[in-house]
Amino acid sequence: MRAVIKGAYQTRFGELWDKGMKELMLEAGKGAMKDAKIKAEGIDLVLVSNMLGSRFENQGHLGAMATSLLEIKAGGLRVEGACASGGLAINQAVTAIKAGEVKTVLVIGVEKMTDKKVEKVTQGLMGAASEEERRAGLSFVGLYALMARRYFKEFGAGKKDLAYVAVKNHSHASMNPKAQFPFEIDVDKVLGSFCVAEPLGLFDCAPITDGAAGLVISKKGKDKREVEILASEMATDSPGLTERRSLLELEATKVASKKAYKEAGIKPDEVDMAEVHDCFTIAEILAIEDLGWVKKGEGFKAVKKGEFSLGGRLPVNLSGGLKACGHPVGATGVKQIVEVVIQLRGEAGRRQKKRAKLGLTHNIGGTGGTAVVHILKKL
Amino acid sequence: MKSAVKIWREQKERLEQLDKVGRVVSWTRILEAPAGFEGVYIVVMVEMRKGKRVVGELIGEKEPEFGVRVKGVLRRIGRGDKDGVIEYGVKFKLI
Repeated sequence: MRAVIKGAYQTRFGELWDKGMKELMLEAGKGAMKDAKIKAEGIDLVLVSNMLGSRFENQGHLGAMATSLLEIKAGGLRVEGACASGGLAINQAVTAIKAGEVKTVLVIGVEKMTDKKVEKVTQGLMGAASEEERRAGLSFVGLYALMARRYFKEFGAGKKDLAYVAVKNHSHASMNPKAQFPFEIDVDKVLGSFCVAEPLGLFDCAPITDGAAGLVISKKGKDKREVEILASEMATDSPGLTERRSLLELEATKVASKKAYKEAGIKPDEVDMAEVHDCFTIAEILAIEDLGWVKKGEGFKAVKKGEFSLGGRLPVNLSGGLKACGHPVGATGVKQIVEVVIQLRGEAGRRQKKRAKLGLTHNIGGTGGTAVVHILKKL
Repeated sequence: MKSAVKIWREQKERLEQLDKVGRVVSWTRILEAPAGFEGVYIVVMVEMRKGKRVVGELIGEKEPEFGVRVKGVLRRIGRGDKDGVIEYGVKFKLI
């Protein structure tokens, strides 16, 4: 059984004052169905990925909300795994299709974050960490800062090395009209931004974002625009950082990607382009190392050399990534697949990676408690 | 909302590092605190004996260094909340 993406859609990401969670879900769902040329009757299951709705909107019953908004008769439910909710929902859609229980699944990832004060969002996101980390007064920036400082110590990197990740992703976002920050920045801008959790500054961090994305996933058909899901794999680890074997890698990324490469029957360097989970600049460095594209401790040098920029050997985060396209947490994993689909179809405009045939997505929950890796292929 | 019962139930775990000594393996200065916490403060990751890692606030403003020794002490955690429950736990101080 082969599963394919038939339809893909992303709403604009940003501070969307005129759109609530319902409007975002509706736009993403309709957009994906229209792209797939499929009507409500053709959907057998709806999966909604979302992390904070029950906390911020006092609304967690999103499966029923989505089916009712879209007038879909089939059932629906919410999937949650912190910032990896989107990747997990897609993984479950593929599993349901391969099990033969359903033929076509609509996945909607959504998050409405900008109605809340920053300190409330910071607190809400800490729901993905461990109790001990919350008691210590840590934020997610703080947790990644702990990893960054350790990485600096081990490999001789510094704040300036991380800045190149933000500069690259902003450069890609400047070519993406759906991005929250569609403009370029330079290294000085990153280094001059105010500190959030030393050593990470504001421009090392993905923003607080409203947005949604949708996918129609189905059995392989005859449409030439279909993109095949070659591999869909997940792995989990402890929610807390203190229990990990190493602070210099995300073991869940390594486990999930190893399984995914095996399932797809490819080697890491065969990937043409990728969307990785750059919630913080240090996270992208760890990701490109853990996904097997550079040796541990070499990632920051390769980014600086442009190996992962458009025009480089393996462009990473052509959408702008979480950093510059935006990070509506429940929608992120879905948006990553939308970007890869657009790239593989050759519809990415100025940020198009030429002759892209294989794309990878890497979606993380928390500091590496969950990792989901997908590999997609142009048919 | 803080629950006094929950805090009581977790006492053993919360106070496990009290008076224990470990070494700093990483740290961060938090300038944007989550709701329930105030101001600028340093959080350290500490490696205790037998390799167990823990995290907690470091008392004072002095920046630590890699490998320096710290000791767990009893302190108030975060702000009190509307119900008046005051939470205590372990923070660290340089020795």
